[in-house]
Amino acid sequence: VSKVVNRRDSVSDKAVPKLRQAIKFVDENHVFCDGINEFMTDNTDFIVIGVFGLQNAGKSTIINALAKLCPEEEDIFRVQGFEHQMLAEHCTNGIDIYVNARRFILLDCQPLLSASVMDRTIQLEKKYTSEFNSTENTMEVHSLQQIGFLFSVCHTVLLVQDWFTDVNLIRMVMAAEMLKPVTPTVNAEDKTVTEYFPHFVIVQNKAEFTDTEPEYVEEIEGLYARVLKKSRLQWRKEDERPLVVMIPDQEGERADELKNRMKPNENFEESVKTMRKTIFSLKRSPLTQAKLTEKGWVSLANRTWDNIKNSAFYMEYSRLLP
Amino acid sequence: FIDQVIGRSVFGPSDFIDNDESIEPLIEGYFCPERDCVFLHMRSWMDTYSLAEKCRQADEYLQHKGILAFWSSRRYEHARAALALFHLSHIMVCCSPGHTFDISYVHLFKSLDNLRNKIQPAVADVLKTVPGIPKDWINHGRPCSPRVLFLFLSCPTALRGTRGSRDERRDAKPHKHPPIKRLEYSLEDQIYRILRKARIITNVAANSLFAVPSNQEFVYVETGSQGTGMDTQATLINNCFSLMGAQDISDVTSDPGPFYTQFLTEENREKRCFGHFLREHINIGFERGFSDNISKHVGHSGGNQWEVPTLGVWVEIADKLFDLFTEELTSEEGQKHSEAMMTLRDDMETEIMFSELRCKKILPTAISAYTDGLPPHYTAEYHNAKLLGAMSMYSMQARGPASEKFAEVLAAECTNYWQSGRQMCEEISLTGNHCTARRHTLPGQDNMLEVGNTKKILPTMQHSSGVQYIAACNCGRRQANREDPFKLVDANYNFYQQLEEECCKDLEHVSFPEYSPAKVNLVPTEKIVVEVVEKKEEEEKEDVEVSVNETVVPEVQVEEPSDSDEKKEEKDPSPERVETPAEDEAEIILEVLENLHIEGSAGKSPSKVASLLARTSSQVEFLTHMKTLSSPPGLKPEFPSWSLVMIGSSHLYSHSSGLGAQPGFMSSSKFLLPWEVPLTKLSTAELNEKWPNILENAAKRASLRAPDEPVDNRITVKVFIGYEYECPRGHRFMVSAPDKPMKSSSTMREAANKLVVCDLPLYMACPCRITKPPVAQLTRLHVVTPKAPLWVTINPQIQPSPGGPIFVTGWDVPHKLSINSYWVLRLPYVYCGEGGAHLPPVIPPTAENPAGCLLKGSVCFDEDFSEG
Repeated sequence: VSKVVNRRDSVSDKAVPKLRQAIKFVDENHVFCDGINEFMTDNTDFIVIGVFGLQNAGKSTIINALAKLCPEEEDIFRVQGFEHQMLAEHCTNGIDIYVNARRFILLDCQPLLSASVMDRTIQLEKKYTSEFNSTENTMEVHSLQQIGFLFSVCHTVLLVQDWFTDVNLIRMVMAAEMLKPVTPTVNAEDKTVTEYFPHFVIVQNKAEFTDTEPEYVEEIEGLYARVLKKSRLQWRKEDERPLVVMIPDQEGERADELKNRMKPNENFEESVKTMRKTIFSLKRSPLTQAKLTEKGWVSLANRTWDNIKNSAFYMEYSRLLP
Repeated sequence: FIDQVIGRSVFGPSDFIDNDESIEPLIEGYFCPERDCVFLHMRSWMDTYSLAEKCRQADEYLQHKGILAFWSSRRYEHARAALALFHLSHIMVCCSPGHTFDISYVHLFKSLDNLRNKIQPAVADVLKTVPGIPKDWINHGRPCSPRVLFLFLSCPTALRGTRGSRDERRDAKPHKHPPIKRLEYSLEDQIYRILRKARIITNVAANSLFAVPSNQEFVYVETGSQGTGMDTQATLINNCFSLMGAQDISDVTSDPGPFYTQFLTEENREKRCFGHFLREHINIGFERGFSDNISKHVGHSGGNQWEVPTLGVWVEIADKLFDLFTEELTSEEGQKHSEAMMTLRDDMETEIMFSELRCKKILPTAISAYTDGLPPHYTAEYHNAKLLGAMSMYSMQARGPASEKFAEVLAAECTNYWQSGRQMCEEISLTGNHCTARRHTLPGQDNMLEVGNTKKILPTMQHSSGVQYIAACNCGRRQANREDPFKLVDANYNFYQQLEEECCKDLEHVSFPEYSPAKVNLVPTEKIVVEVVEKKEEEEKEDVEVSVNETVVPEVQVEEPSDSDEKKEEKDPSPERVETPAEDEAEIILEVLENLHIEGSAGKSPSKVASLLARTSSQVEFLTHMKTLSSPPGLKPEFPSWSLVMIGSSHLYSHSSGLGAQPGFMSSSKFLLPWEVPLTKLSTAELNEKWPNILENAAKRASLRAPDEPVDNRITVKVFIGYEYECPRGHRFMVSAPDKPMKSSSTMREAANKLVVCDLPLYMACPCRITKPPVAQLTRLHVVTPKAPLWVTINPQIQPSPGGPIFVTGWDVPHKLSINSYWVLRLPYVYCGEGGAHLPPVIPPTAENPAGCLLKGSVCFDEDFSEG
């Protein structure tokens, strides 16, 4: 394996500039940016991973853990600082993208159902606030579109949560699955389009002391197995259990310094390692029938985004919102 | 259930008993007699814990309908309960587990706000019936415009415990508020702006669903007094904590209820706690009521009512309002408010609505995808292909939980469209063509068809594929058009019998074994006999054919098993097979296709016992199909499928001019092949005595021999043999080699010697057309026997498909052909075994893809000659 990785590294180093930080893929005005194109190669062996979740769930932290080649590396996706937390603000706007040397393409989404995003929208008086009748409807539809987009272009999507579960969030994921339009193929004659759905991994972030107990994990898995029963996302492991990963509170390691904090049973670094292993070992199902290069993927993403923005599904849906 | 809860909540103080049996949202109440305070705790599926429980209970439902459908209706129930709270509470606490405001509340609030206005008259009507309610209350439908407080149950780790109370960053500018306060203020600002933008809170509190205080904090973020507080709390909340709690205050009070003290006991003595936070609001409520108007309306108390009822009155109201909000939406009198509740449901069931509308929208398009370009009537196979196309088109566009329901509608409509007069007869002719008529019955059959509850009368007619062939008669001297046969008797017997009338009836015929008793009263039991035999054989020889379900359907008239051969997969009429193309498609489609078994299953009914009983009597019965090597010995077919006639003496054939004027023959291939048969048993003397003609011929030939030719002293006689093929268009030709149509006759001296010792293909490309040649079939065997002491014997054995059954004439021994004559053996037109007809190949067979053959040894000679 290491040989393969090395070879890949040398190929990409030579051909394309290296990306230091994540850049915008979809900006906060909901417009697609193709700046990533110059960092892409004709390599066909790559993984696309996307994260989404509620505000403050730790999406950027989790995707950083996946993007970094070693834990010491600097953060690639910006994470919330003290100021953000204190002012209940979000950090990521739109969708950020990064591609690392091992050719993992990573997508980080702005928070779903976020008051902070909505507040910002209201304050900036964005033109599109009334795109779908009202600001809250626009927020909802945009969230659905973003998830739909991830569902169309990623091999694996992670739902990052810092709470047992949130009904509204799950409802939204299900609605997004329902609304996801089929991306048209470049070649119009190909009528045998099949609907694509990625792997769906639930990352239970900031797990507390007791959260990693087998009983608790079983409870969570049981719930998701029921909730996702009808879902066409690839959420099952071989044993029919849902893909759930527990990541303990990062701060837990410092529990001894901090007065009265309990140290989680699991070690953060170890859990991250397990998570990486779980996620990277998932069998990739092809996004399209033809073999894709990284560049081809960008163009697929672009088409998908346009298709999602123009899809009648979202318009129809938004009309039914209160 | 509400009655019960209310009753209990008033009289029983300890009501924090998990009541997980209830599927509906539950509002628990607690009345604090000392404090005269009623706390209502709404538990619904929105709670994580309840959700997990509900999902477990509704496992079955989730399996079938999926989460979205489940969700939507739960959401509606939740909204109704929330609506009740908004009508009964002074203060409501909106709890969130994290420290961010979930904007899905905006939709809930908005829907409730819309509904509150619509439902106002109905609420007023209910309130009027309660004595002692102030007029204002009746007009507004609620005691006041409630205050909503937002409680966030966790905070960022960096602000937990005491860390939030001072900014520990060294480089940060000093701020007058500690970080946790700034978080609260920031959340207040966000919530306020969002709710304003959505017009949920307005300047005049009385016009809004609720208000937030303008000059008082309304957001509280739990920090956990100590670090561990967060951990224990998490456990507690996981067990039972609602997303939304609500309080109603009846009279004077001071402390927060036990509801919160459960987890706040530790904190109670601390300065910062939710108890204090809430108490401040409660105190204001008891002192002067809320006045949460803003801007120029500040201080305007007009329209801002504030009622503090007695407990009794409140309970009565609560009782009635709960009834109103939870009653079924069907009652006549509540029409108006029912309508309003319907809109609430529509608001809450967005996913279901969307799915229904989407599917409804796409349905006509999908149906027209099916109906476009349909022929007037068509087969099940065609129907399924079309339906599959429409289904895949539909599934690309349909979305959500309703898609299955509408997929069924789609399939039902298409199937109905097909079944109402567009069904084609599914019968396949013995040569593999569909009957082109619409669905019909045969003369003599019951022509009533039950479709659901209605009975239809089917037209009665004979099968017809519309295809016509040209074929010659038994002796080959006359050609005629023939209909594509659907019955074996038509194929192999009737047609030739008809032609015999005009042509060969006076010739000498050799009979074939057949079942002789009068063909009357064929009762179904006899049919079962056949079935048994077939079944038995199939067990032994699995490679043979499709089971003959049709034979057991009780019918008055005998019908030959007409299922086509399994190996000819292109055209397979059996209902089970029709499904194959759909096998990998979605379950829905499969399910729908099951409806297509219109009459399929009836055939599998005969019980084992009945068949075993029938077997004992089988010796006396006859074969409904043609005789094969695997047919039970002793059983004979009803009619012969073969014919053997003697045209006349051997002089009829002249090797120099060929067959003469037989119709349909290609000019270059109407010669028989000479076959030199040596005579070894008889001495020259004997020959000279009895068969002088043979010696004469031998002498003649010797004199014609070229000088350098080797001397052959053997005495031979000539038999002439012709293997005749006939194509569906009536073209006939002989072959000169096993795979070669004859081109000319002159050089074929030895050819027949090779032909009689090898298998001959049953099917061959007809030379009548070069591109896409039709498939000609070996039809006749011409044999001209010499005037010599030699029996030419025939015993044709035909295997119409490789590995398939071998068809035989039924003779016990090879038949001896009389000498000095011209014989024509006509082979069966159709080979129909236990399982059905072996269809001729669609394209001419090749070496890689062989079809049937006439096995070698069909023509032999026997010198053991005795005259007479």
